[in-house]
Amino acid sequence: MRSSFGPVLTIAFVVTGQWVVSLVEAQTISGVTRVSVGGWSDPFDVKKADALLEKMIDSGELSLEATHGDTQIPERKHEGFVQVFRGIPVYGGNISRQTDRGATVSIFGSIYSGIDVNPNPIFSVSDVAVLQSLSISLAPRQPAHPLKVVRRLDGSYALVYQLTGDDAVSYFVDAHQGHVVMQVDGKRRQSAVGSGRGVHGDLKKVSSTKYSTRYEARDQLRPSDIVTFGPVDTDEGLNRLAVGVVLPGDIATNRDNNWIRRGIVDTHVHMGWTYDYFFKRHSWIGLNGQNSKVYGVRSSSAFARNNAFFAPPPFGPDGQGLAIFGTTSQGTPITTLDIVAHELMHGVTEFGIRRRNGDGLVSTYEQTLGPSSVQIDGETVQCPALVLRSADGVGRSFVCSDGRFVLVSNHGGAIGEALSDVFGTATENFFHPQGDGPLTADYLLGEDLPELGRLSGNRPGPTRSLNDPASLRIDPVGAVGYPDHFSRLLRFALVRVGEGQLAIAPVVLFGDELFLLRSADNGGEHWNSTLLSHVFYLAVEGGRNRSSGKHVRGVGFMSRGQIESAFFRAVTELMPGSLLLPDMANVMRQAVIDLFGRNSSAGDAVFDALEAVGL
Amino acid sequence: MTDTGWRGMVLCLALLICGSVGPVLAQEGPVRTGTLSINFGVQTASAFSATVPLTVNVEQGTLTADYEGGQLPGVDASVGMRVWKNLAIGGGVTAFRSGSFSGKGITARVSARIPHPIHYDRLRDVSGRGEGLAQTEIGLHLQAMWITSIRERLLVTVFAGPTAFSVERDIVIGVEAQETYPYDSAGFKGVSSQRVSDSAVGFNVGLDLGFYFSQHIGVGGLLRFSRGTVYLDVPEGEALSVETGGVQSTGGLRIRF
Repeated sequence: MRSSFGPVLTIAFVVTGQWVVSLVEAQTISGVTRVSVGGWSDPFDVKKADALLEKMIDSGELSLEATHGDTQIPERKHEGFVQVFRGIPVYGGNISRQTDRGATVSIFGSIYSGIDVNPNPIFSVSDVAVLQSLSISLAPRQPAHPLKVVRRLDGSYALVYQLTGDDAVSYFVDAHQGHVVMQVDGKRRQSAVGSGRGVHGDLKKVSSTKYSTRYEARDQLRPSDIVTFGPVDTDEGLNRLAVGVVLPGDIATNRDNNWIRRGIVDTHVHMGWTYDYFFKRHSWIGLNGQNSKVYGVRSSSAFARNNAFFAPPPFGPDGQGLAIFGTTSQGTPITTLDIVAHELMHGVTEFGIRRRNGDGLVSTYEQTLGPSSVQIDGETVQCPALVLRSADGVGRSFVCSDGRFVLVSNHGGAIGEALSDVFGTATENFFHPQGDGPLTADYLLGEDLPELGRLSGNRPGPTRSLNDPASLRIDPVGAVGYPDHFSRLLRFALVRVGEGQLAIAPVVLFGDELFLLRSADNGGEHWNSTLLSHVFYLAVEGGRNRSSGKHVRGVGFMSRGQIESAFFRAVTELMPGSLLLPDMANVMRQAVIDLFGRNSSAGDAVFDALEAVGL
Repeated sequence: MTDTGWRGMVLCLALLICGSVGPVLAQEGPVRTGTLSINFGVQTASAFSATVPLTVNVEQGTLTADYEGGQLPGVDASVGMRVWKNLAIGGGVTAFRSGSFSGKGITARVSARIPHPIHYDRLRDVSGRGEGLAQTEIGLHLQAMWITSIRERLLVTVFAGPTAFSVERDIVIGVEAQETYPYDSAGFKGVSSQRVSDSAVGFNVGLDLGFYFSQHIGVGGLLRFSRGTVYLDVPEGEALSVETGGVQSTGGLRIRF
């Protein structure tokens, strides 16, 4: 298809809150120094990185934010440093250092360079006029230190206030010009599109609390209260709970303790089981490791349609986060054990990293330059000439640099989703017998809700596969499968969507081939997650990576706890708040060395699995 | 046993004690009119095992209690009225109760499979001892008696007849568990019991030896075996079939008149 302005792609281009937008023109992609040294590295590199770290601490470029002891290895200590530019923290610039009786063991993190912003804001954080003009309704709880330097999608920097809206979105408002520089949807989603299947009629015990003439879905058997709200049928009710306003009628109740709402039962029971998994396998209590209350809500509201997600702190009652479990288009509650555990793992990831870095795991975008042209209908089209036309008929030009497509990929988001898939699957394997049918354990996510996922040929299937990621399609067309090798990482093109504003387009480039997808998935955070979750499968069960052809000898199902422990250590003890997939691979290497040593079956399994997927 | 049956036996025994049954006979046997004895002693109690359903945490587990046997202390009062030569009819009342003297009750070795509070089909094994369980057994015995004297001062009586039993005892119906999160194992903390009762008709046979210091007063010993079966109702389960009675070994005062 062609127009007088050049090739135009007409697609269903629906703008959603998952977009990450920037208000400036693309500029030169500036540098990011990623530090990743540890037990697998040359000891000289560790010393060199440590010396650099100390130098930055002395110069005030790094500030110690938090210190905590190691929950698995008593002699170890972990420090979290945040990058500071003229006294202002840099969003996503942080370092995690592990020491053993004073000696540095590993260092991970990202340091941004080339920051050139004016550190003096013009607007104040409480400038209501600005907020009103932006139509942002603030949540009751806001970050304690909202003024930050943020790196935009195009690699340039801005001085911003990080504000939390009551829609669970973090807005980065330019402190000089008063407009939104970037917005990040704080909700950690289990996204889904699909058709229907009923909830299974399995009998479960519900831990409730009796109040007068009714029972409430408030679990007091466990050391921490686990509370289930719902069913919440309206978006208003869901938003109210998300911002922490709880009314007496919100909690799920039953008259005779014989619970008949299957979605409530699954939500409440599976949250309890997930709590049990973290406790039994990892001695981790609650989501934050300190037994904060766990809150979940069952919802059939429009916002929660085909959706489940975790709203991290400061959202939720007590500001401790809130897991939301929606309903499929066919009316089935999205409350299977693996999905519930997936969402709660988002909370563990958030809290685990916040022990060292106050921002938690942030979306970390890798910018790369793609080809200068793509093939469309057999014709070669140069980057500057390509236009993306959305459903509203507006054409949007692609962002190019030196004539090449600027491509982005959200590694941070993909790592978060991968960890949630790993522990969603691990929890399922902890409680269910292995098998292929309903209520059995496997290495698929959402397999008991096939309406959510897609097999080739647009047939219903699991949401994601850890054992064979590429067997599932990421879009109804079925042209693109989930990646199982780093060379197949989905990289998205950027387009201009407004006056100087950039957005991640639902367009993926492989070489000079261009694929249109149904959404941008916030830079492929769910879709690219299989790169890391596949590592988990290979390290446990072993097997051959379909893309690289490399074989891995896994530790075996009965020893899967070793691999789970390594992943859990990575989250709760080692990970910095901002990292790319290759950094995460090194964090995994360090974690398994810490726990089992390099020359162990677990060490071999993790190292080989990472290599098999190209990490 | 019905209330009517019990009342009938009580009436018969009362009439015997009042001496209004049977003619007053010239002394042609070892006693002129009859005998009266008051004894103290013990009765053997049968050990038994009972499994009852245990519904905890909306799931059914099991509870098995092995009740010890041993000896119950108690008292016996018997009377016999001569009706013809050496033949007499009579009766007695016995009452035996665990802990009457020692303050200790029956002990039961308890083993239970307790349902998990979070999961189905994850029963947890606990075992321990339930102590201080009460057991009371009252026997009302009607007897045909054959009284004879071996020597001048030594009176021997053999007897047999029906016995009405009334049994009341503590049955272990629950286990108190010592458990903490994650509840995958449980310890034994104690038992909960329920007092249940039943009555039944059985039989008794026995032998009494009396040594008389004087015309009317003496001492003696009684050996009686009685047996019956009672059915004790327990919550949620079928009634427990429990054998009652046993071998009574008692001794005490003898009066002949």
